[in-house]
Formats: sequence, C-alpha cells, structure tokens
Amino acid sequence: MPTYDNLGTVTVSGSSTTTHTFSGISQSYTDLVVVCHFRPSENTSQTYIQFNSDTSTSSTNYSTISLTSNGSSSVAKQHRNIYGWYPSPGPGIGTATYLMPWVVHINNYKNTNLNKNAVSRFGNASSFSNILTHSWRSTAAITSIKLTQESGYWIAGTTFTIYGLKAS
Amino acid sequence: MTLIGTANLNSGSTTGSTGLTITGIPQTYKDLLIIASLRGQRGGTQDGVGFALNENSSTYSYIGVHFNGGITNQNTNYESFWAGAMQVTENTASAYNNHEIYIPNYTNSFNKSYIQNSIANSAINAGASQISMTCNVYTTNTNAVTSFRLQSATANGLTQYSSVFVYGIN
Repeated sequence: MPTYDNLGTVTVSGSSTTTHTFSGISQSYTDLVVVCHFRPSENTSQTYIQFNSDTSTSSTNYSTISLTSNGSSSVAKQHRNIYGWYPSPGPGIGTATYLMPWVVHINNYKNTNLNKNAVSRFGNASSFSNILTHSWRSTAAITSIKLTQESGYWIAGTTFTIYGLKAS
Repeated sequence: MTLIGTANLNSGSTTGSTGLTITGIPQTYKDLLIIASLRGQRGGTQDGVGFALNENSSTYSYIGVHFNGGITNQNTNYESFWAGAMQVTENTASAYNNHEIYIPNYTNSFNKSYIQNSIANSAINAGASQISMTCNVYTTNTNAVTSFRLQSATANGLTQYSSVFVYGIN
C-alpha cells in the first residue's frame, strides 16, 4: 500500500468561507489525493478545483466527464473546456443534509511532460453518485490547488484535505 | 497511513449475518480506508456486501453506479446497508471480490457519508460480474465510528479466506 501523507487540511467554520488555496505543495510524491467532505449552503451550486495560477473563470483548460446514476437512470455528462473540475457536471449537486464525499486522485502531478489527469468519485446519497475523469491541459507541475464554492458558502464542518501518495 | 485492524476467516466460514468485525478503532486519525476480499455462501449468482457502521445495519441510504455489461442502478434504501457485490458459491472457485470503502472524517459528529467501490468478477456467469460505486450515508447516527462489520447483505454468511484490512489516514 502507498503511504498517505497529509499535506494540508482545512476545516470550515462560520458561514462565509467560499474559497481555499493549498499552496507550496511538496514535489516529493507520485500522486495527490484531494478529499473533499463538504456541503454548500446553496443546493444548486458546486465546488470546483483549479491549479496553480490558472484560476480565472475565463480559463478553458479544464474538462470533466462523468458517469452518473440518479437511482433510476444512468447518463454520461461532461463539462469540457471550462474553468475548473466539478464533482457533478450539470446544474448542481442536489439536496443534502450531510457532508458529501468527493475523492479526487491526481496522477503524476509533478510530471512536466504530461497534461494532468485525475479520476474521482462523488456521491450524494439523496441525489446521485458519479464516477468521473478530469483533465487539465497544462504540463506544469501542480504546486497549488484552489477550491472555490461557485455561489453561497461552505457550511461549518466542511473539510478539505490534500494527501501525498508515495509508493511503499 | 497505518494498518489499525484486520480480520479474516482463515480458519473457517461464517453463517447468517455473522461476518468480519473490527472493533476498537482508534479515534486518532482523520479518515478510514477499508480494503476487503469477500465471498459469500449464498446460492445463485450473486450476493451483496452488508456494511454495518458501529455494527448497526439500519437507517442507511445510498445511490450507486453499477455496471455488469449494461448499466444498472439501485435506488435508495435497497437492502439498507448494501455496499457492493461479491461472488457466491455458483461462481468461479476461489474468486473473491475486491472491495474498498473510504470514510472521511469518521470521528466527527455529523451523519457519516462514505464512498465504496467493489468489483465482483465471475468467469462462469457474466451476470454475476459487477463493478459498483456507491455513495452511502448512515442517516441517523452521528457517533464516531468505533467499529464496523462486513457481512452477507442477505444473511447467508461469508466463505473461508474472506478478509478485511482497515487503515487509518492522518
């Protein structure tokens, strides 16, 4: 099993936090895992991920494709050529009264020969579960990760953690 | 990441709802990662994995993405603590599922939500092969996770050599 080293954790308090950036990410690992356990104040809005200085909402470097089940049907969805990675391409992440898990595994985050890819899993047991792939069209090593709530704020108790994975 | 518990059936199988139980989970980590290899004693083509947080098998909900050659879905509260598929007696001998459960913030005071992935692969019966990913929520218990049980969701027991490892992640 690989090691999981905690590279940073934030726990949200209050009712005003809408963004957080993990900067200075160590380049000593092979992969990164971003564990989001969150709930927005507005059910129709989402949290998205951006990297390094590519944080403008005019960016077109991020894409997400999902296989989504809502409990009665399954569909493929996509967010191509937009400004961040999303847990659920489409108009929101549904209603929940609990924190929802989104676990993002980023491969080869420091390899400067490759665009960056990830696989992730997101679930809202009241709405849908998603299996996702993501790409960021940049060969830059990932040195910072920005999480943004697109509207509203994260409720207190929301946590975001970055783990570095290293082969054992 | 630290191995904090393990259980196996190296010395024999179980019956009914008896399964693999881990107790005394330390409260000093942030997340839990559970890795299991399971096979059930049920007849027919397939059984579900029951995952009972704090050994309580009620008041869960989930939605899953399941693939077994065509996409199928399960709605909420189906076999309430259902958490993936596993091979059973009709399937290829010695074939066990691959099972992973990730529980963020297992010590907090919120309802527990977690993600599980499982692969049950049968060379004999394609209908018994399934890839599953679900998001589950344990809806009425805000207690920290101190134990869990993996079992046959239909109370038909687990076969010999089923095993589970749980890791604490800080």
